[in-house]
Amino acid sequence: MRETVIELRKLTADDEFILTNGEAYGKEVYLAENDSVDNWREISQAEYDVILAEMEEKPGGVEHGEQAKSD
Amino acid sequence: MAIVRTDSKYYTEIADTLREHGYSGQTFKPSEMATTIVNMYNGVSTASYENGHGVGYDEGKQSEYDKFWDNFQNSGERTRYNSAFGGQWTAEIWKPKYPIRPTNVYMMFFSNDADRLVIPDLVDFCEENNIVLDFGNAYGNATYALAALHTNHFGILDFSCKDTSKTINLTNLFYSHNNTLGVQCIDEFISSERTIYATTTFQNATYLEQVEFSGVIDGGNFNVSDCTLLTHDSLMSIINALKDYSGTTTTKAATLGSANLAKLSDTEKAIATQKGWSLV
Repeated sequence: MRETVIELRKLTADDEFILTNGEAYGKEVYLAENDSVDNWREISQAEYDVILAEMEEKPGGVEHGEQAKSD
Repeated sequence: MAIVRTDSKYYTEIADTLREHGYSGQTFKPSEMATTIVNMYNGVSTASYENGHGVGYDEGKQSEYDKFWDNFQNSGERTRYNSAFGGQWTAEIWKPKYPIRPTNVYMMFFSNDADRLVIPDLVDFCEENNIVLDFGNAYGNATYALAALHTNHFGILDFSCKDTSKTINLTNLFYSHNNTLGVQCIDEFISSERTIYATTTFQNATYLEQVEFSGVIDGGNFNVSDCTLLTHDSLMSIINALKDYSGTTTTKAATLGSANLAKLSDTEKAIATQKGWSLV
């Protein structure tokens, strides 16, 4: 018989806040073994909504003049 | 057999009609007429062939098919398929003659309007029509590459970018697949260090249930939080494909979303965290 201890560090955002490391966004994060809590911060839902809107790429934008790099 | 009386003018009218439709100058016995009509319909009679009907139709159709696809695919040499299958394509006419092994796939299947190439099962369709669709040589901007190719079943999607000097950027790959015509199953998704994911790569793939990742997931911002129907096996294939950064200072994050994280045990999550990946 072998006993293994699984250790997970979990961050959970407060209500109406989102956790981010600047690239990923979510309500909960299971930290990598070599990741630090300091790499993560909370942003408000309103801030997150703005970021989401910026990330949304509209196909019409490409067709109507935005220079799209094709390769 | 019952013997009935009929007016001979009806036979004359039938014979006249046959002579007007490819049997010029011929005479017919009443007993031959039915067979002659069937042959005319099927286009197998010598007379109709000589008069340019029937048999020539299929040859002409094949000739036009060859002419179109020889030009469209440069007799099999074409590799740049940017915007190639934008709108107006249907399963009836999308029958490429040559294997498709594109290098450039930007908006390859994309339409700004409601046009979609709808093929319920792409794997079966390609087998039935002898179509090869292999993205392994693709590189660069692959935005919207599969957006308007609506199928429930993709076979192998090789976005590993075989050219080791390049990368491929997968943005909005399944744009507009958020309906029952969209992707539900991907037999294999081949990834590599050169595959650069975006938050939007799997955005809108909301009906995706099964996908088997092979190779390595590493670059960009991997996010399947929209794919809340993913099976446990599919999630484990993701966990197992995450590049191993254990023993280094590099940390990465993969966004699975709360619904998917809930399907994994702590032991399974730990496979990722021990490889240097935070799970979001």
